[in-house]
Amino acid sequence: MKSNSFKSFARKNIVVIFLVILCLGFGIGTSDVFSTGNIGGIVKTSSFLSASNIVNLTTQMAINAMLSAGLTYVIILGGIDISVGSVAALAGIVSMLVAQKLPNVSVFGAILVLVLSAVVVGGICGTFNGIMITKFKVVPMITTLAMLNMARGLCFVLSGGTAVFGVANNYSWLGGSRFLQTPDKPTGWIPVITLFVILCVFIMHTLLSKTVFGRHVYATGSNIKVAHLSGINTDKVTLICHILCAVMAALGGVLNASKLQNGQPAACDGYEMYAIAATVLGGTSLSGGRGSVGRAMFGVAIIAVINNGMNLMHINSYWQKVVIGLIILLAVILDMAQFKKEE
Amino acid sequence: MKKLISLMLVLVMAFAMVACAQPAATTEEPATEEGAATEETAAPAEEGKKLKLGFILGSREHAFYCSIEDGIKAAADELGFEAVVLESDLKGDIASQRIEDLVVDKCDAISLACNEPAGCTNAIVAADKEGVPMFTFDCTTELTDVVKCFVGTDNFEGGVVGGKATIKALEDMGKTDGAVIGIIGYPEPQSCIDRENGWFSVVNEYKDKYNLTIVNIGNYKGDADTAQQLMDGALVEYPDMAVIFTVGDPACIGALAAIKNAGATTKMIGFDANPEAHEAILDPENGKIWFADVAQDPYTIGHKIAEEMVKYLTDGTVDDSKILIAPYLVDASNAKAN
Amino acid sequence: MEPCIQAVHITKKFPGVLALNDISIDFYPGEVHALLGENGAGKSTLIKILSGVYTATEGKVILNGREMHFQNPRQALDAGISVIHQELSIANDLTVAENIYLGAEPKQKNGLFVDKKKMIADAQAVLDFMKVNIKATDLARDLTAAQQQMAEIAKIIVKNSKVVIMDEPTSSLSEHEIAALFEQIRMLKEKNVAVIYISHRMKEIFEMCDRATVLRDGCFVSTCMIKDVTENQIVASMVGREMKDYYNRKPHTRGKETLRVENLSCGRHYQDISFSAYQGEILGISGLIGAGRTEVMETIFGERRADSGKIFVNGREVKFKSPKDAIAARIGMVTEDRRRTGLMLSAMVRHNVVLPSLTEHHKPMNFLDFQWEENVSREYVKKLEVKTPGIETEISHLSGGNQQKIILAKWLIANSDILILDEPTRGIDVNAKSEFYKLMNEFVARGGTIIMVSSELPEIIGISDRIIVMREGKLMGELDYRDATEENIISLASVRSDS
Repeated sequence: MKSNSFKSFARKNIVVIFLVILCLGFGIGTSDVFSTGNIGGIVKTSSFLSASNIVNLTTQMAINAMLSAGLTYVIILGGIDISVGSVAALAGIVSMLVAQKLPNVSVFGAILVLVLSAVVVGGICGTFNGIMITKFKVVPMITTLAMLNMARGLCFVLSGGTAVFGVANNYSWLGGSRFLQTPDKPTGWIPVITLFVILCVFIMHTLLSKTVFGRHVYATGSNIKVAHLSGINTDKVTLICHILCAVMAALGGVLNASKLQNGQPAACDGYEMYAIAATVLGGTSLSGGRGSVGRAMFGVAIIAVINNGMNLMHINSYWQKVVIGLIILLAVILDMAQFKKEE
Repeated sequence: MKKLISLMLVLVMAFAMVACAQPAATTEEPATEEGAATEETAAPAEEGKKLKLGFILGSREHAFYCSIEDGIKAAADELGFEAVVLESDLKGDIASQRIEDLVVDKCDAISLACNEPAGCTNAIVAADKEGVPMFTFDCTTELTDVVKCFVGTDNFEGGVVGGKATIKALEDMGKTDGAVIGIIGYPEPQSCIDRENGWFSVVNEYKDKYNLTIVNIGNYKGDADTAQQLMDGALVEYPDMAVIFTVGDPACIGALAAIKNAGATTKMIGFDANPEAHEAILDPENGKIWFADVAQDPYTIGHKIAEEMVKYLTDGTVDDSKILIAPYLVDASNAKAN
Repeated sequence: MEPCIQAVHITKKFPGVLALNDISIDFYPGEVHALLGENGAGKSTLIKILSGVYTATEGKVILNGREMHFQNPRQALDAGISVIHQELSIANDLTVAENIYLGAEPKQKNGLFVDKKKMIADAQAVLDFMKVNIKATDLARDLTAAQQQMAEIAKIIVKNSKVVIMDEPTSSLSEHEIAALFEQIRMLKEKNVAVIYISHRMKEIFEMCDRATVLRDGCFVSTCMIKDVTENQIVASMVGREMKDYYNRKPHTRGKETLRVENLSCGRHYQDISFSAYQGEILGISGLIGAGRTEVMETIFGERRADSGKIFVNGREVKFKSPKDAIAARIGMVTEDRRRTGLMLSAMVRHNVVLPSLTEHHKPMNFLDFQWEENVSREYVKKLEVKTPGIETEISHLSGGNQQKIILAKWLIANSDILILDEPTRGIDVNAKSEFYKLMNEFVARGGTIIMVSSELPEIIGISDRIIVMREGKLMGELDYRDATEENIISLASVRSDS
């Protein structure tokens, strides 16, 4: 009985356990314990576990957190959105183009420009995806594959193929600045981007887990026919989910642009794969009806930790690709294991 | 059963990662034990500590950056510092993350190839603020003045070398009236734009004198296949194209195939002088077409940037804020077989 | 003459159900043998055993004197037993010839490649022998339903099957096409094939069949020569069971009219349907499968659009665009297919049971009211005596009857006044049925209206106050439960030879 309850705890929290193991592994791996043998000094000497690295980690996972939070909605619906990376890049380009036109704005104005650009770009892309899927019955994979290419193409069209830069410094406040500057950390300890992402993810998590709309998303994903016959406008739910997903991706894109203070037409290339992997690692079922924004964040953390930790251990980036590939595989195996259980 | 399997998979992976990290860490720094030994006997004084320098390459997929890495590694052995070498996949945002990682890793100085200057300038400024001096090699950023020193190829000068070779080839062939010449460009990385401009600066001077038709064949985007398609098209329009210049060797590989397919007599000058360029120039068949290449000196670049970083950390000065390693022309006379 | 295929003392048990009880039938070559019985009498179970889908719990299948032990349909097919299902199993993107020879393609001499020329020529020869106007090179997709059936028969000829089972082969055919099909059946007879024929249409039975066997409740009733019996005799032996009193019939007091349907038509599904339903009554809708009953119900619930006609709820005309509007007008629907359209199987009981009510019952800003959800779930689980470990149990872990109760609870919580129940007791055991009827009676006693579609005659007679009968998309008549007998319902529902 006791081992059973441990097993079920381990099952439910497998990503959390995995994350802890990873952190411990990297913590030890980046400390000087191998050269000094001083086990007590692990925490002190580990560059992975250092405060500034933890702060860096939160900024490094920021973009993927935004993408995954939105993607969770679409995957719970039983759909997929592989256009998030391109939509993010497009929003980044558009926001920086607008920013170039408006050089004299306050920090608040800059945030407004960034967020509004994201909402407009994400809104348009998401609506397009949603309408194609609900009205024209195009499968999500194909619709968003089309959007992936269209948005990426527009990035190059709008930017002329080169980076959009030279925007006022206020535009980098949201993505780049940090609060709480100290003498030993002159750049600051608390990144604004992290706070912004936490806020967005909290809102997305609450919307999904605590509201009627969220319940309708789960219902539509579990059994669209039942949801429809229970009086849920499933087309509307699908449309809104795709809009939310694209807007979150676009917000991620403007954060990225703000952080780098420029828009890259090739930005966020391939990020959709990281976002899908993170979402599935977080327990969201690719067959729909199950998942959570909060848990997807564990998946996001795992991917960020692997990337960061392997760099700190000076592991060749080819190996990083191999490991990320294995992680994606692991995510899918976990997904199928859950599915099997229901049979 | 499924639960157990998945749990085991996770464990195996976690251990595999810790394990595979170990050989990498030890082979990269063979001097660690020595350093640790001195640390144990002597008090851990700041001065006695080995310097730890961080380097961010564009991508190890390019032989060019691998040569830079060789130069860095050689410098590390000679000057006795620890080199941490990462890659940015040629992207600004990834370069930014790598800078953050190296700062956390307590590198004493960091240098990087600024392939996307706009994308990583903020991170360079931030690292500088945290007290880590920043250097650039291969490509630099003009958007900030915190960079202590840049070591790179004078790409414009390289273009000039290519341009001069183009004109000389025309003269050697006696096509000094009404010849068609072309360029395959890649107007995205700054380095390639500079090469293109350098080439144009020479050939434009001769345009009227030799009544040249100068064709911009197109953007090959770093992809040999694209270059071949571009060249196929160009040869249909200008079957008598005399000489072409490309801003990178992969373009030559594609263009070579196109020229051979078309049975044209076009001559070609590449850029980078990668091993395959040397081989082609020495090849009796291919050498008739691909007869020369502009060589950069990545090994010297890597070595030089490392030297400058060490110099700055010991004296607080650098030789110059911008050190350009001159490119040179490789042809049958000085090409090296593998 | 020796029987060609024999069912010998076959008994089939499913968990909790005795589907077939000691059935023995002999089928002779060159004979068309009708298998008759109500839905659930055991006909499909029997043909599934003969064709290798199921294995019998007891008894044996004997083919040409040899006992057979089929593990799967393929073995039965190879032994010469073919089945033509109600839903044809034809590969749309293959040609007729390829379909006919599917899995048995003639090979070229080298044994590797399909000999296409031979295949097409042979297939065309069979089709010509059948005197049907189909080209072997046509794509199956381009054929009509009747032509596809012909292609299936061609397959049987090619396979040289000795036994052919036809399960309601005429359900999607026109009069003219049926005549053509019968031509082919006569041809099979001449080839000494044993045909086992299942149909609800008495007219066809009398036209085509030689003998008939009647099953009832999984038991053998009788086998007779068709020429010796009348239609009424057969119907009587199909339904002649004693009525069990588990319907808990209570006198209902009929109140005001709650639902009225006027001249509703929807393409080929149903035409010109008019009826009313009242407070405090259960209106039963009977008819054969495919009579258009479900389609009418879907239209009332806003799931299907009618071409013409009007629907009134509580005297006011309504135009529902989707189930959402119907639910807002306090109509609930328990669908025919519980697993596909009734439940979110992987979700918890509590999430299933409150689903339609959430839009009406929530906290400010559309936040979920978890406390209410928990309370109301517990309340209804208790009230409806749902057997479940808890309200957080995944609904797929519940038995069919309990799942059905949860679906009912869904609509009770949503405060439905009018409940549409489409085959509500299908696939649930007798006890659960009885409990479900009790809940229906309670709902009606509180002033609700129930419209129940059911193919089970005893059920519809046992529980309804009034019964309307549909046949082929048309309303055939209305009966008070006191006048209703299985005979007169069947005579309204079936296509009679004299019609």
